[in-house]
Amino acid sequence: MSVFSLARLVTAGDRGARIRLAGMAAGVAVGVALLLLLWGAYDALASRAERSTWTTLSAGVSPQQVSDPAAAAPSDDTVLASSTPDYFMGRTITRIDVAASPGSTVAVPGVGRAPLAGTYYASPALAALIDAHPADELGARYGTRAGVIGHAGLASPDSLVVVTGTAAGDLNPSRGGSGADESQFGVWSVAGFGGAAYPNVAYRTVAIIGAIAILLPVLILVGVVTRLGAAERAERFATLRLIGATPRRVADIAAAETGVTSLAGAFAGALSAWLLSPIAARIEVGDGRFFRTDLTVAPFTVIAVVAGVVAVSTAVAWWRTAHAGIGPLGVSREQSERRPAAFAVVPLIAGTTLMLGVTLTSVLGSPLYGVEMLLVLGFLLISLGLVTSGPVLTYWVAHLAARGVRGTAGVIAMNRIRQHPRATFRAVSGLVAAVFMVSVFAAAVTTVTAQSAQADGSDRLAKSTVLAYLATRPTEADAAITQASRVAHTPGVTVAAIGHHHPEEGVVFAASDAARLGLPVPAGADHVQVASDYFEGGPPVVSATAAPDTAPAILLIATDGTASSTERARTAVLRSGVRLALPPATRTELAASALQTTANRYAGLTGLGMLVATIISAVSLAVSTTAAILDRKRVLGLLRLTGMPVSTLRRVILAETALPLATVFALCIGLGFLAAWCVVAGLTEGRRTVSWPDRSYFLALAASLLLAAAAVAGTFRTAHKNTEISVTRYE
Amino acid sequence: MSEAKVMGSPSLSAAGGSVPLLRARGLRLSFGFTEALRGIHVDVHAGEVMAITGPSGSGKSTLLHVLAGVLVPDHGTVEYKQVRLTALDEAGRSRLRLGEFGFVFQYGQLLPDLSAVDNVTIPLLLAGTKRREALRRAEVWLERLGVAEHSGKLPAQLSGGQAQRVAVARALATEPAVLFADEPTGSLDSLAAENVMLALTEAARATGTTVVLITHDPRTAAYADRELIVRDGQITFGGPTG
Repeated sequence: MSVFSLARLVTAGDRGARIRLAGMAAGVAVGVALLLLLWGAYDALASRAERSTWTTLSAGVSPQQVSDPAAAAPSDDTVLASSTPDYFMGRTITRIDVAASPGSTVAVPGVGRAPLAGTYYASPALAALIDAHPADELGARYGTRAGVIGHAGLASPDSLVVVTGTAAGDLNPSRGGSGADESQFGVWSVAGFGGAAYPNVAYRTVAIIGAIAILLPVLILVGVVTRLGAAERAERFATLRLIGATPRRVADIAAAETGVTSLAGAFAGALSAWLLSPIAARIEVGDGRFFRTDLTVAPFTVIAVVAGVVAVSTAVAWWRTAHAGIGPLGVSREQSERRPAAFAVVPLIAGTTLMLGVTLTSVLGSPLYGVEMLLVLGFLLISLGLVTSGPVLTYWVAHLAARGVRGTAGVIAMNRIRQHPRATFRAVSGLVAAVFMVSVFAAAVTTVTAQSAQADGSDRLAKSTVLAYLATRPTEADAAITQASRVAHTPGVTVAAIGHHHPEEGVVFAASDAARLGLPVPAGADHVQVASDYFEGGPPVVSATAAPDTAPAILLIATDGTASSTERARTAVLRSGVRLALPPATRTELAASALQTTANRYAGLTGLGMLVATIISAVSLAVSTTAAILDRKRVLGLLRLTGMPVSTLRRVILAETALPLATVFALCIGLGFLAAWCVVAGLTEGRRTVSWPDRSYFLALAASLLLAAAAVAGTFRTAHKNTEISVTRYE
Repeated sequence: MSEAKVMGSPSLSAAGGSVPLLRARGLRLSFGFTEALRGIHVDVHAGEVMAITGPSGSGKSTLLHVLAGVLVPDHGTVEYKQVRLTALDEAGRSRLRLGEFGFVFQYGQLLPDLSAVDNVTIPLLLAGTKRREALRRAEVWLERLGVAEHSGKLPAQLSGGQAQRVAVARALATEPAVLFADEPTGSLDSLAAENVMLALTEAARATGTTVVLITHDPRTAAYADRELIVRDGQITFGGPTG
């Protein structure tokens, strides 16, 4: 009889075995589905970044900054372009102005041939916005629509991008882009547009570390579910041994059973991933939703993941069974685990030492060659070390605790942990990995969210006021004033005031304009000097000054405060012909623009990573806790039969979970912060550091613990039912 | 000893006119269409060792479980010290089992992760005894059952007979009024079975503990003062052993 037939025979008639196999298949399905979705998301983030960063002109083909575009006419092989942000109702629009020759061969991603002067291509989301609002609020900024930008030029279906055609002379070389990215400034000549998956190797390193950190709980989940019902299975295998099966034959049967089950689970997982990808694509990450095709994993990858999961789980099942010492006399004698060896903490110590060493040499100014890969290696060693040293630390703590416990639950739990430190730690290892990852990312993002928000008061510049920083030459001053006065006639605009550079600091306004803007004007002053800080939300520092003889520096447009008026004012400025240094924006939009960096996009991803890792870990914990009870259901059932209250059983479950978790919880947090500091300081040679995380980190930790508590509480009912007298009687 | 018919069904009264410690009347219990108990009357008196024997599936384990308050009969009553067990809820019966009864099963009753002495302390701790005192009393009971030298060993390191003696020590450690033993020697060879039964009955008699013993082995039943034979859910014989 073949191994497969035997495996089928020993499970077919047993309802418990069928439920166990169904649970195993379901767990593998969840693991594989998550693995494929995460794999897809990892690839998607890179390809999305590549699709969106073509607008960074300095990353284009043969980029050259052009100081006088009027004199540098585009050839057929090159185009002149500038990239600037634009704003609408609090959302940022990426605007690319392109000047191309009639015979240009340079293709614009998602557009093809560059649009003719006066026409534009908009992304579908922006086209919808333009269509939904009056032209003087948005559409009039760009000209006549020539078409819609395709998928290849967009990060996400939600991206707001516009490519406008323009004459070379209308490109403004002094106009800046986002305040945070100086490579965006000015006009560039490029022979082609090209994006990058990662801005630099540091981000690639961070992405790899993030992928490992999320992958770890998934692998732990797969490992946990393939051990479901180990005791019950060992009992059946003992029966096979009794009737003559060799240990090797039994191991083959276990491998066949696990192989077929995990194959079914892996197929179901691959199918689920495919079915769920349209839903997963709707989750907004970083730049917005994904295109469905972004999350599609290549068939070869799907086959590799399915084959890998099946091969590994089958091999592990064979090895475990072959080494479980299942004899023909049954399994009433449970085997204790080997005492964990102290050298299991070596990877943890090695990883910590490596990360610290690499970082310190980098901070001290002599970075080692391949610092990125060394940090990844150190991070991997720490992650692995937490899992391998967890049982050792748990054993030591349980050993100490067992001496001091008083109650029944404590005695049962501490001794269980002492005899099975690996199994009890395995139950919480996913959560441990999640807490470690949460700590790493929570600490790492403090380096990019350190900008503190300034307090706001009624004397500050109104948030709806549009600021247009000007690049007007002294000779254009009169023209600028005329153009600004036209803006003042826009419906909803209450004040349009031109400010001039002050020779020392700040901006000079006419006293009458300052008064209309609500600034405190000193008595008798004709002109006032306003400190620059005011335009970024600071308090108004106003003093009397002489009439300016400098070029206009800023155009301040106060409105009635409605969003429509703000957008009309912005459109009016853009169409006025005034020479701008920065796109017209409110101070809130400018601040948000400064924070729209790649680092912040990565910081935003951590929330999703934390959620995924914590949920997977809670599932692993629930499965492990249930398995630990099912493996002891006879003996616990007999104890309940003799009168042990069910509350004692609950306390046993709680103690068995709480001790290993508590043992490494503080260690995970500390190592997480250390790893974050090493990555940040090591990659930036000490230019950046980490600080204490904000409230959301502590909320995330509390949520992890709550999820763990919920997962454990969820097993109480299973424990109760499986140790009921009616169940125990038939065991 | 006398045998009397009560309500048309055989029952046994071991000690003549004395009030029985455990009294069961008209026990009926079905599992689906199977009638496991079909109108059984039993009196168990303080200090006696009573064996319930019969073939497999005769209903003897079910009878033990009903007498111990583990199962509730469909009809009939069980009284322990004149308290009606059948009127108590599950929590009340659990408290009674914990405080008044001890149990020994055929196998698999020792917590595999606890040493012999820790296993014996469990019912004491459940009853509220302090750990230090529980350990002291556990050692005394292991000594009494002849397995003191194995007190630090895990169940997997004990032979079947040693493990059963530890189980007996655990059952008697709380000094229960009644010890229910369900096939306590069922998984042992004859020599080990004899040792366990000798230790069990000696310890029980020394402390005045009543024993209700389920077995299908006549040699084990011979350690009892009297024997009930159950067949098809009814008592077919009752009388003194050997």
